[in-house]
Amino acid sequence: MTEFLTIAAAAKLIASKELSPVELTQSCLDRVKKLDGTLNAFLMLTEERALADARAAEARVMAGVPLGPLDGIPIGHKDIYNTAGIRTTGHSKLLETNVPDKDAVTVTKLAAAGTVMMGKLATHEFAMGGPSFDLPWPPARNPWNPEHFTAGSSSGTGAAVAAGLVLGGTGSDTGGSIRGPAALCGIAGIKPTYGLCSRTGVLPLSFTMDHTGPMAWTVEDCALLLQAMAGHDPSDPASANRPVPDFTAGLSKDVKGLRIGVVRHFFESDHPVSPSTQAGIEHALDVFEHLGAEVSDVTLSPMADYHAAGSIILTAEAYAVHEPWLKERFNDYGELFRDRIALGGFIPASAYVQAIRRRRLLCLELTAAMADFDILVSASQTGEAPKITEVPKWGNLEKPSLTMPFNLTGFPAMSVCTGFGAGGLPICMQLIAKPFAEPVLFRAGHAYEMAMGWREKRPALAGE
Amino acid sequence: MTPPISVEAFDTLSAQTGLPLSDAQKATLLAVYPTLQAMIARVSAPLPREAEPGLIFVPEVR
Repeated sequence: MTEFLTIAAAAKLIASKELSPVELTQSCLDRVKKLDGTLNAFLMLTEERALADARAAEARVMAGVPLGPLDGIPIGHKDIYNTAGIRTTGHSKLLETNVPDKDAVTVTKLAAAGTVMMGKLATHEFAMGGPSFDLPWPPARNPWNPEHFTAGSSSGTGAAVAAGLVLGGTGSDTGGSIRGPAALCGIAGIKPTYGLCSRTGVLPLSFTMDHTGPMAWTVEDCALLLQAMAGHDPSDPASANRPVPDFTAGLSKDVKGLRIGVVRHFFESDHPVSPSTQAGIEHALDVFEHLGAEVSDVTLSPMADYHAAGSIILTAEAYAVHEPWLKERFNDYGELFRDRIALGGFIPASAYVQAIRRRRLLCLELTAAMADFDILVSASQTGEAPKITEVPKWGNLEKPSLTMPFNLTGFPAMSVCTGFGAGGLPICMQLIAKPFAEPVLFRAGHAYEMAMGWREKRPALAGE
Repeated sequence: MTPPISVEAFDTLSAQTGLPLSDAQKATLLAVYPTLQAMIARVSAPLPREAEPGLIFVPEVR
């Protein structure tokens, strides 16, 4: 097997013909075969497709016409992304035999950039119900300790990237489903601005809250993947028609003068985080200050306000999406998804309307609060990954989510690993930027990663 | 504080959904219903009349 490589490092080696895309892909395939019996990150390994993609990439490289930094890079797709001719299940019995005839737009874009499709990755059922043990496939496990939760719903992508089964992958984020698994699996994951990446061909959960985006080992790798995924899609009614900036151009810049607002009450009192997570954030703020950033606190409405509006909208919209199946095939769903979504049938229309009115005000509040800041910092998860058997069924409702505010408002937000907690598992922070200001998010996250050494350490299991 | 809902009233709401809920499933949802009620109360706090949702209908022209 080749050593663990980031996308950026592999791209350089491929470009200089020091690394063959076929060799890299075979190495990932070997790692999948060795580890995925424990991790359950893959619902389907598309080995023949991967090797064919890799050979095509290699031919381009050898002919001197590579497609760019993603040419020959092995990735996986969350199994809510449609893949032409390849089963797409939503990790659900309801779509156990579903084979789409078209790729999702973002799958097409990533393929056009030369990526190697390794297969379809585990998700919580329809990007919401999990971890579930009553579905046709088991839930993904955390590579840092397989007895522990990956978070979700992009659970397979989180596990696969952390274990080096793929170099990057796709996720979706409706209430935190990219940032959660990125956090608990110790990788990077960005929920871009609402409208930046197409959702066409991705199984919907909540029309006004769904975001697609990348997950990878580093912030830089997320920037490379987002470069390929972003852009206007006329077939997506929420797609923003605006130029896509160069997401890697600012990575070499420092963060001197960057204005950072800390939403301290979110993670200190609204939903207190673990001492390790708190310490990780405080240390990161010290690092930013040392690098020349200006750090001060900012106050928003209670996180419960964001959470209530977001949860009502998400649950009501998801109920609307699934209502026909809920009435006809109720017991074909796993318990967690079924019960969480059934609650949407109890939400009065007036509550949905009030929630979207409330959203408007919260968007205005966040916009005003960010006027004096380039990025905000908060927590992304409350602590290290719990045991997978100890995840509360209604945890999505009982305490306000640290990630939901930025689904509700559509602002871009990213999880960045801040080291390891008292239990030895990853901890993280969340960085938030203004709409369509992903470059500054990448700049800040990359500067932090470069200042620290967390990216050097992989899960012990993956190194065996 | 929203008063707790009675089992009978929740049964009526359940029937209105049209979902084939078993008694056990109804009990599960009834247990979490107060959390939903609290969220509904939170978003239903008074808003200025002009607070418009961020949804604007634009007719599509082809």
